[in-house]
Formats: sequence, C-alpha cells, structure tokens
Amino acid sequence: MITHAKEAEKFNKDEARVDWHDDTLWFVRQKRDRMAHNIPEWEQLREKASQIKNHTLSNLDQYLVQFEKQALANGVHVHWAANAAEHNQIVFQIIQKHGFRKIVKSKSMLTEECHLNEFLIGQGIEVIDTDLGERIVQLRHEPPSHIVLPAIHLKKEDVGETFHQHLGTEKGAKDPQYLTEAARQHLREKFIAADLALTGVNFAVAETGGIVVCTNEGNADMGAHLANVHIACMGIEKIIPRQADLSVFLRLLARSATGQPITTYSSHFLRPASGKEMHIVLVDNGRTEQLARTDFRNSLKCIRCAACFNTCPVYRRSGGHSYHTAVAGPIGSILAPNIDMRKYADLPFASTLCGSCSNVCPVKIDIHDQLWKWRQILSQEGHTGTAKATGMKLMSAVLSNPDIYRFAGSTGRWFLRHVPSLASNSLNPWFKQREMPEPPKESFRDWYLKNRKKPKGE
Amino acid sequence: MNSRDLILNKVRQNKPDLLPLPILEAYPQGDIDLTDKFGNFLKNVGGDIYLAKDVQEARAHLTQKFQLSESIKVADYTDTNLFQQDPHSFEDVFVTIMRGQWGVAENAAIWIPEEYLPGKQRVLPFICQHLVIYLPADALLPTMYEAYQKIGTQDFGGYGVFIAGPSKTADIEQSLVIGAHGPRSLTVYLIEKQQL
Repeated sequence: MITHAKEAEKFNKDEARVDWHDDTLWFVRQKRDRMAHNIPEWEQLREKASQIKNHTLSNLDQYLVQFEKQALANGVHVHWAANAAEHNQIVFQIIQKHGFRKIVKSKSMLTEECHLNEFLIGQGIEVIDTDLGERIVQLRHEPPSHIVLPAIHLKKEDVGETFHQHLGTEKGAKDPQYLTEAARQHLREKFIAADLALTGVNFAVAETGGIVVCTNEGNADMGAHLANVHIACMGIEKIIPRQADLSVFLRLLARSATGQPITTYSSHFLRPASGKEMHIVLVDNGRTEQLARTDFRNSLKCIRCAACFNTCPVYRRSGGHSYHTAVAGPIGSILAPNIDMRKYADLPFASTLCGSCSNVCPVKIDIHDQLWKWRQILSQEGHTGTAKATGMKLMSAVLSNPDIYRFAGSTGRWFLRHVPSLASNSLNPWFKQREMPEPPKESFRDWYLKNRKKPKGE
Repeated sequence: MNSRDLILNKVRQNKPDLLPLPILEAYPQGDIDLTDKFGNFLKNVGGDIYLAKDVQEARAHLTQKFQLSESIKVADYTDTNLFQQDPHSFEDVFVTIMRGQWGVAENAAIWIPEEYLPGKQRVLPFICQHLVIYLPADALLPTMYEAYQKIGTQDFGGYGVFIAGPSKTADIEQSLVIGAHGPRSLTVYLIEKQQL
C-alpha cells in the first residue's frame, strides 16, 4: 500500500534537492507574506471571503440552479456529472459528436482528480497540457506535484533533459528562458491545430452564469479563443453568488498563491463567440458527501491557491508526489479521505498540526483542526494500522496510571544510559536523521521532591 | 433520477442552515496618487508605461518603439476589417493595439470588455507578440472593489478580461520568464486627452 511516509522516504534520499525544494517554497511563502502585509484590510478580506463561501455552501442548490439558468440563457451548454466517470464520458461525448481528435488543456485540478487525460488518451484522443509546468510533467508521464507550481519538484537540468528528448532542444541546455521559448514554439503549433479547448474554472458566478479563469501564461485564452469548442469543467463548490464577489477573491487569490498582486489574466467567459460552442460541466464526485460532514464541509471553501502547501513544513520536505492524490498538501489531506478513507488514511497524519496552514488560508478553512478530526475518525474506523493503534493504547495505559508512568520513565532512562543501542537503531523511526538525546539523570518529579521548599512543620 | 436532480437533492439534504451573505464594502486607500501606484505596479509585473497627450502622440511613439513598417502585421482597434476574420489568421500579428476601459492601481490590471477588442476578436490580446493598450488617464481606480462596481453596471459583452502585464511563467525552477504563450511585452499609454 502506498503511504505518505514511504513515498517521502524516497523523496528524502536526495538531501540537497529536499533543501532546495524547502527553500524555494518558503521563498514563495515569504512573497505571499509581503503582499498580504501591504494590504491593511487583508484580514477583513479573508473574513469576507470566508463568509461569502459559508453563505454559498448554505444555499448551494439555489445558486447552482441560478447559475445553470443564466448560463443556458447565455447560450452555454450545461452538463451535470455525479462522479468522475460520468464527467469523463460527458467530455468524451462532446469530442466524439464533432469527430475531434486534438484537444488542448489548461490547468484543471478537477480533471486531474477525474483522471481525464488517461481516459481520453485511451480513446485515441491527443490531449496536450498547455500550462508549462503541466506540459513538463506530462512529457515525463508524472502527475503534477503542486496545484499551482506543477513541476516544482524538478530542477532545470531535469526539464532540459525532458525537452531535449521530446522537443529537440540542445543536449545539456538548462537556461529557463531558452527552455520556455522552446515550449512556446511547440505549444503554439498545438494551439493552432487544436479542435477543442478544455479549461478549469476558478470562479463561477451564479448571478451572471459566467465563469472566470485565471492564468499567468495566457494558455487558457489561447486555447479557448482559437478552438471551435470550449469545455470548462468545475466542481460544484466553485460557485460564488455575485459578480462583485470577484473583487474579494481576486484580491486574495494570486497574493496567496504566488505573491503576485493579481494573475496576468483574469478572463471572464459569459457567452461563446459567434459561431463557437461553449460547455460547462458541473461535477459532484464526493462534494455533496463532504457537505454533509459538519466538521469537514468548510474544506469546500477552498479556492486552490496552495498557500497551505507552501507554508507546510511537511509538504516542503516531502514533496507533492508523496501525497499520492491530485491535490496534495494540507488541503488535499483533508479532501482525499472524504473520497476514499482507506486509500488516504495516511494523509491526515502527514502533518505536525502546527496550524500554519490555517493561518495563511485566504478563506479561513480550519485545516489543521480538520486534520486532527480526521485522525480520530480514521482511528475509530480502524484505518490506522495495528502498530499505531497498539502504540496509542500502550501510551494511553502508561499516561493514565502514575505508578506505571514513573516506572516506565525510570526504566527508560536506565536503558538509554546503559544500552543506548536499544533506541539508537534503525528499527526506531525517531532515530533516522537524528541523534537520540542524553537521558536526564532523574525525572522532574524526583528533582522536585528533593528541591521543593519544605512546608513548615514537615 | 438524472445526475442533475441527484446532485441538487443531495445538496438540499446535506447543506447547513442558511448563513447570511455579507455586504461588500470599499476599503479606503488613503491619500494615494493613482497614476504613481498604477505605474509602479505595472513596471513590477513587467509592463512599460508612458504618458501621452493624445492617441496620435502614442501612435508615433509606438511606431518608433516597435519599428513598425508596412511589412509588420498590426491589429488595430480602428480596423473594421477584423470582424469577419478567422482567429487563426492572427497567428503572425506582431502588435495588437487596443483600448482599455479601467485601470486598477493596486495591481496594474486593465479591464477590457469585449467591444474594446479589435474586431471583437478575443484571441488578439493573446496571440500577438506585443500588446499595446491605450488607457484614459482618468480611468484609474484604487482597487478591484471599485473596478467591479463599474463593471457591474454595464454589459461587457460575451467576454471580458483583466490584463496585468505581459504573459509570464516561473514554472522552471521559479525563474521568471516573460513571454510564455501570450505577448512578450505590454506597453500602456495613459492618454491625457480623452478622445478614444
């Protein structure tokens, strides 16, 4: 079974690369801080965004109906998919109806979640990811390791080698400017030749039936405006009530994500251009179940900025692939168990519960509280494995009985002093990358009994 | 039951009690020079900014800047022949020149409603090598809040976009590269005399 700890172990083999990954993401976190601190009303905006999302979830059925009605009035086709398989079928049927063979995609974590690419490629469709980071990982047959920076686990030498193999760049070339230019030329041909463009959705406005897509590269627009058909795929939680609500979210999104004041492009699609066709696919895939879980429903407020990834000490040192899910990091660790508790039982434990994720979240999701609550549910449901369960029971027995606790403490200190190899060996996970501490000579309790001021009369 | 009704029913069953929708509000930005702030942010996101007294002056300047000649393809908002063309035919456009409606000082984003696109061609600000925007000097607003107050009262057509700087990426080792898929540069002319 794949677990975060086992995968992280692989990532941790190259210590220099882990340090680089750690520093690079921390740098993004610092850029985010500088941007946030420059906006005096930052905390008010977070609160506003949180309230808008809370309200939307409490009235989601009505907003979905309103959004559908407006979108239909705008001449947009609206589809509903209960799960990933239905989503993929809907997209495939649109492609098939037109007899298309070539599609270009801009970033969509939803289609990653639904494994759309594999499905379409299996049907003989050419699917090209056009976000540079996504194209890099697609050529390498890897999933993205970060929802905003898909190739952050790679060094320029890796990208250079991949482009040398697939795009014919010079062997050994690693200059980002040169490599980006090669990708620009390569993808321009794909944009021009594409029959259909698929994009994600950052926000869907119930009031207007319009969708907003944010990119820096301009790839969503290049695709959507050149192809004859545009399909936009979205989870049902992407709805916001009013167009003016965008003023709150667009002020928060890019600042939280990459420390930019706004993405280069914030594109508002309302109606298809004349002679063109536009589709929106609304996807549930477990979201309505998450809505029912009182403790976890507000994870659906997420706007996918990845600020919680960049700040997370565990994410930065274990890499996105360790999370073995489309959305990694702290937010992914509370979303994934909702979809498959058994498969993702390890993820809520991939955290120190330091709470930094909750502090940077632009929509105030209580991420670390939810991680802790998932741990309890997973333990109750028996998804935590016997080693952890037995360990916890043992610890509970020791901590709840003062005599056993004292005895365990003094024997522990004795063994650490006289037989240190019992703790300093490879069977003890705490010994990896660490020296065991000097055992103290006595417990605090013994010291206190010796040193406290004796009450009068004793 | 079809998926639409299935999803809507599950949402109805599972949603929490109704919570209030907050009122949006302006946040006073103090005594700021909008032109300064807009210009600084634009430069920070990789754009160029010039003040021009009118469109003629801007046009003369950009002709120099991009060394425009007969052989270089320009898509201009005054060209009414653009409406009927296939978007693919713009592949070799070197410069797109268009108007912007509002500029936002806090992030240098410029609002472009569909009718401001040359020939209403949505691909033109993206497919060109260089983008030029004429923006009225008095069209600057402090934040996105004021921008959406303005946008909210009008029909922006089937498509509208905020553009802040040239296209860019940092997907290779977080190294910033200007000119991803869209324009390699953005030049904004703040036009003093309003006859756009």
